[in-house]
Amino acid sequence: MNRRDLLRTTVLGAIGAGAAALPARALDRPAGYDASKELEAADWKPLFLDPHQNQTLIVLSDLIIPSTGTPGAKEALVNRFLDLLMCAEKPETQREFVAALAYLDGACLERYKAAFVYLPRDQQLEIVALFAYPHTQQTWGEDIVEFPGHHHFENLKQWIVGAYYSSPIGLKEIGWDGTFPHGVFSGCQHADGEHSNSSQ
Amino acid sequence: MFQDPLTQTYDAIVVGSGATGGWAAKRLSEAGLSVALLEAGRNISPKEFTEHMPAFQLKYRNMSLDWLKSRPIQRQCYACMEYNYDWFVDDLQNPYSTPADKPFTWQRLRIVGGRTLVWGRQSYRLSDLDFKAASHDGYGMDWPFSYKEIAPYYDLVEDYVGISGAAEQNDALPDGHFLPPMKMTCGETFFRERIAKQFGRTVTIGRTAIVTQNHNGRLACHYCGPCERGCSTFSYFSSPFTTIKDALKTGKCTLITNAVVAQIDMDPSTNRATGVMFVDGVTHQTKNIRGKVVILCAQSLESTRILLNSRTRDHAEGLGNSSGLLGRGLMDHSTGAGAAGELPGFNEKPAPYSGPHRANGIYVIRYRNLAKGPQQKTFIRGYGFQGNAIANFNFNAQGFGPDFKKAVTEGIYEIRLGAFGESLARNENYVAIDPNLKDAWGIPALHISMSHGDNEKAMHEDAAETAAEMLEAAGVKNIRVSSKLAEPGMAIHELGTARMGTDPKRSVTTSYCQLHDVKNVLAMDGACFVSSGCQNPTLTMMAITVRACDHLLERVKRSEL
Repeated sequence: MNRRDLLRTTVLGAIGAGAAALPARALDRPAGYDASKELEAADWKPLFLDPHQNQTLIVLSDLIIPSTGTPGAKEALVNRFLDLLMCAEKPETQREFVAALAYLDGACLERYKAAFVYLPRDQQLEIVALFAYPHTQQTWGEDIVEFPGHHHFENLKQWIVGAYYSSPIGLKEIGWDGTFPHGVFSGCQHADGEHSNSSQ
Repeated sequence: MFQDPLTQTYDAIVVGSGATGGWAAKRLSEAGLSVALLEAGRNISPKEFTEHMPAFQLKYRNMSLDWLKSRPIQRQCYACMEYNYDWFVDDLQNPYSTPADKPFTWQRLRIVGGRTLVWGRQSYRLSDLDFKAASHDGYGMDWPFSYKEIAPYYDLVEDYVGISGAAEQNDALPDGHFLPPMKMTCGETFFRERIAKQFGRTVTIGRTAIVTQNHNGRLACHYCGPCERGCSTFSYFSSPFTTIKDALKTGKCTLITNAVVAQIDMDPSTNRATGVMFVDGVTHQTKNIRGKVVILCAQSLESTRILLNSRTRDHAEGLGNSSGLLGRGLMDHSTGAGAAGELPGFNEKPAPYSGPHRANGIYVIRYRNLAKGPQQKTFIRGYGFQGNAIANFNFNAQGFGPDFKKAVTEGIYEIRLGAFGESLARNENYVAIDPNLKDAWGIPALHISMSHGDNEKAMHEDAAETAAEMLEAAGVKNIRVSSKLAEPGMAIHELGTARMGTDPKRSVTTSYCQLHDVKNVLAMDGACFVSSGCQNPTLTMMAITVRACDHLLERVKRSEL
């Protein structure tokens, strides 16, 4: 049934006067509208992040998801999308996001006397390697505590991963080819009793 | 010539256009009755479907809904997305209250098709273990009919809707008229065999209202994945493109949208309903429509709300409430318990984003407190699991750099089981009219008071334990177990509050959904459920609706109405 059929057999909304008036819809978007195009604007400027935070995010995201055989987070404009998303997030999420960027800079200043973006590549890799895995640390006479840098890193990484793998570049990375119907779900093709997995 | 639909008297007014309302409209109009089908929301068009829209075309890529201020409750629903959120109700326009210590998440849609647009589609029959549960364990009430009486209606509904699934000859979950089942993955087939051998439990492919071959003018599933965003081939069952389409085709059914029903109009001299009063959703004008029979299919709590709001001098506590039970016995399946982990040794790779994706999983059939066999000491009734074992992209891989990127696409083979447990019908779980709260149309809103009890808690401890035990038996690594009960409402299986029965003192409706107190008012949705079973309830709701409609038609034939 198409919309015209529905309209024909339907009394819409206010019966009688104004019967054909449909209420405005929140989701109306022009056909073929692609929000990702807006991120590509030549005069793009961050709205939520300051220029230093934005630069930090670009460098960090590109270390986490670099360009390999396929483009990485920088090419996917991960920073631009996250800047937009953070504008709309709740204050707590915003605070956690900038706190994580600040913690990274704080650790770099402590170790290397310079902010993250100004470090040479090998030092950037060194600090990211430290942040990327869980550690515990203990000061004499104090309890063992989790290294907070890892928590901040994981927070930023999750946003970066989400932004990358939902971008046009990231979706291609995981097998998007512009269309959807790709045959039936074929599932297990083994004969009965032959599915037992190789490790047991 | 345009005829004002409000000037005529309909044979039947059906309130609500979801799974049950669609069936009532189809069944009655095809039998020749004139039907007015009232829907509180707007119409739906296939042009709104977005199942093939890649995430990046959306402003926020469906990554977060924190910006969605109008739907703080709805956005907790797994199916409420940036793609489709305006199908869900605006929470600010549709308030309800709860006790401070008893949160309830009421997830609902107001649009033609209702929740059939976004439902989970899992479709399971109840058995006499459910219909006669009280006889089995002494708790609550039996249903006023047996499996044998409802079985032909299950057949009829399944034949039309199209349920894909596999027959298992398991007494706790009767087989149905199935379309060919969807395929299991290697991991699932292995799990099925291991669990059968070690525990004697049955793991089957999910029985789902998605057609796996062309069926009744609808095309076979094309495995794109996100059904809750609509389906351009109408492969999953939703009422606007099936039952309602058929009803409109008869020329006997008039669909009236934006009709927010406030109450049922009564003639005190005959004690019969004369129609309903509704508020126009757009203009907020109050209108009345006349009908010989009023059928409520508005969703369990909405139907009961209409009855409670239809107080008259003769029905001071709400229509159909002489038993005092209207609003009582609210149920929603308990969820939250389960286990997940990594299933090693399978070389299937994650399906590309473009698919094919199977919008279905596996189902572990209830194995606790069966008709024969051991009975649990800490709880009555039972639970089933939904789950899957499948290769996914490993977005949570550790580390960074090229290795991380590679790990993501290589994927991780995971298995998960999530329990749906029976929720006991307890009178202390109830809905009532909140005297201080009205919706945007001035209609008194509900106060919902529900919490899961000791039985649900004990059952979920057991569900978590046995889920972990089954995963262990299958050699699953890094098993994570949860026994935390999700808050009521999260199963989105609200049932009860106008239970059926033979005794008017102990029930609200007859076995055929007719109010004991008012002969021409019927409640045909989930409100009439006596007990919840642990199976997803929509299939049973539809079978009950068709059975009640056929009985109604007989009464019409005999001129009883």
